[in-house]
Amino acid sequence: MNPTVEVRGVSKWFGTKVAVSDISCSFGPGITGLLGPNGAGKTTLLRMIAGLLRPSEGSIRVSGADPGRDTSVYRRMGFVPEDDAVYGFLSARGLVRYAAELSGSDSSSEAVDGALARVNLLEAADRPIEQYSKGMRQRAKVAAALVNDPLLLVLDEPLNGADPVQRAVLISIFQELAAEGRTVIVSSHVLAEVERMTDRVIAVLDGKLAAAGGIRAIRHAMIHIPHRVRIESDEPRRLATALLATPAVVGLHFKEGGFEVETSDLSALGTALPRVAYEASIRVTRFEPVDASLESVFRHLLRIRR
Amino acid sequence: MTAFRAIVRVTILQLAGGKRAIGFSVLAVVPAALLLVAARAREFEGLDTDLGALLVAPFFSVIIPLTALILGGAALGDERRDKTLSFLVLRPISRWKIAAGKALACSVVSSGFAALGALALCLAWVVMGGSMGILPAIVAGSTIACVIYSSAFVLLGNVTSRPTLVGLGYILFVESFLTGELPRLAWASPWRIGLGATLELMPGSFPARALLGALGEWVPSVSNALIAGGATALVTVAICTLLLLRTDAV
Repeated sequence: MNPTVEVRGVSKWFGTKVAVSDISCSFGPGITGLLGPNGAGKTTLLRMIAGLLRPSEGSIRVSGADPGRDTSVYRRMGFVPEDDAVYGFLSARGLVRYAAELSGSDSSSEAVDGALARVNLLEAADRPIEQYSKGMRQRAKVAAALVNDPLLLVLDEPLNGADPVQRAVLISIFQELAAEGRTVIVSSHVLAEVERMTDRVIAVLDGKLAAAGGIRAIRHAMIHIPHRVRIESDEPRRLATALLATPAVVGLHFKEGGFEVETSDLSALGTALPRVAYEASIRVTRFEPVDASLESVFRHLLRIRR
Repeated sequence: MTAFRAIVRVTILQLAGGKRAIGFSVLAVVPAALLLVAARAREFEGLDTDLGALLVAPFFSVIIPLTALILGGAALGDERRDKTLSFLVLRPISRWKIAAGKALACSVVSSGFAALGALALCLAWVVMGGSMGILPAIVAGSTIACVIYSSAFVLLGNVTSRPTLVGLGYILFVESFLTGELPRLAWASPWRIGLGATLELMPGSFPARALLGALGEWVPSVSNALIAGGATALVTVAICTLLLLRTDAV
């Protein structure tokens, strides 16, 4: 089956700043998480897919058409931007109706109410959006994106600012849409968030493709890439010496009242440390991974790809 | 045309809603209020024609440009500031519909406030002993001025993040100072075009001579005004359409 979105060798630069560098990937039916830390280039990539930005190099095709030139792709595309970009003076009903009219789709009360019901916003549909919470605004934007029955839904950080209940509601909506065979692209900088929605991810870092595929590979990498861990105890030198015998420890150096261990297996170190400390009767006061962020995982994956 | 109508409808709501409606309504009736206050201060007995006529001039040269400037700058400027422009451009519609819809909506709203001001001015005029016969002329002239200003300022709101400041600079420097020094530039002053059309349409009883002084050497006719209005609207909508086609700028 042909992918809905094809990104081929796409780069985008603003002056001397390279926002996206030579990314090739594709998006098909179902949810694909676009994962990466803030500033990685996710929004730029999504804005290019939506046709809001033109690639400096490479090409993007949405259902075979260039979204930057052919406005007909918008008949079946919904875009939810990251910004709080809504008309606050309109009600959710007014916003959804406006979206339907602009898209040339069915703007009847039934169609509008259907989109609002889908995001559980019917009860508050006639209140001005400026009175909504952040999560309700997100749902209003999603309803406006759904009213033209899109084949492709592009969602830029849609869970930002939503409370846990609203997150759960939004995630289940995205999953329903994906189950209907639509292509849903969801960007996020939170791995756990994407993990709740899908197993398929495209990870970007510094504008480059860091990984594409299953989320398990990223989870696996989070555990198995070299990590640095800061350890503090009442007897750091003795504890360090005892730990050196542990296979998980690759390197070690002392730093400001404690020491940092470089390990190839974070979980093995986590298991070994209490045992070693107990046997040597040493009290551990701190055990803290220094670089366990998603960004460090992506940097590692990027190095592997090179 | 559903999309075009929707853009006009929502833009009218955007521009004329809430506190703006109150503010612009108050601004529109200021010349009428001044007319009544000044007339009382002079302890007038009957029609003080020159005074009444002179207050039509600030209505055209101050109230209409200011109203159209703020509304026109907001029509697309607010969309850029609030980042809602993507809501419009990521649709299967031509960009000219967006540009023309914004200009039309802004013209309708500013003309509406101008018509309110014109009505108030005429009522004050009636209180002073004049007739309501001057209303159609003022409404027609102010509508032409509003269309020219609105379409130009909608474009301005699309090219700068400070349309009010830039527009104010134009009104004060070009329209007030430069046109005073170089009367040949009067064609670049929409309020003069609107006022010229108003004078031509005024009933014979209206003391137009007081306003001729405000216009200077060049007194545009109704046909001049209509051509200027149509041409300005077409050109500015065309430029705005081209700018909206530059996706990277959205």
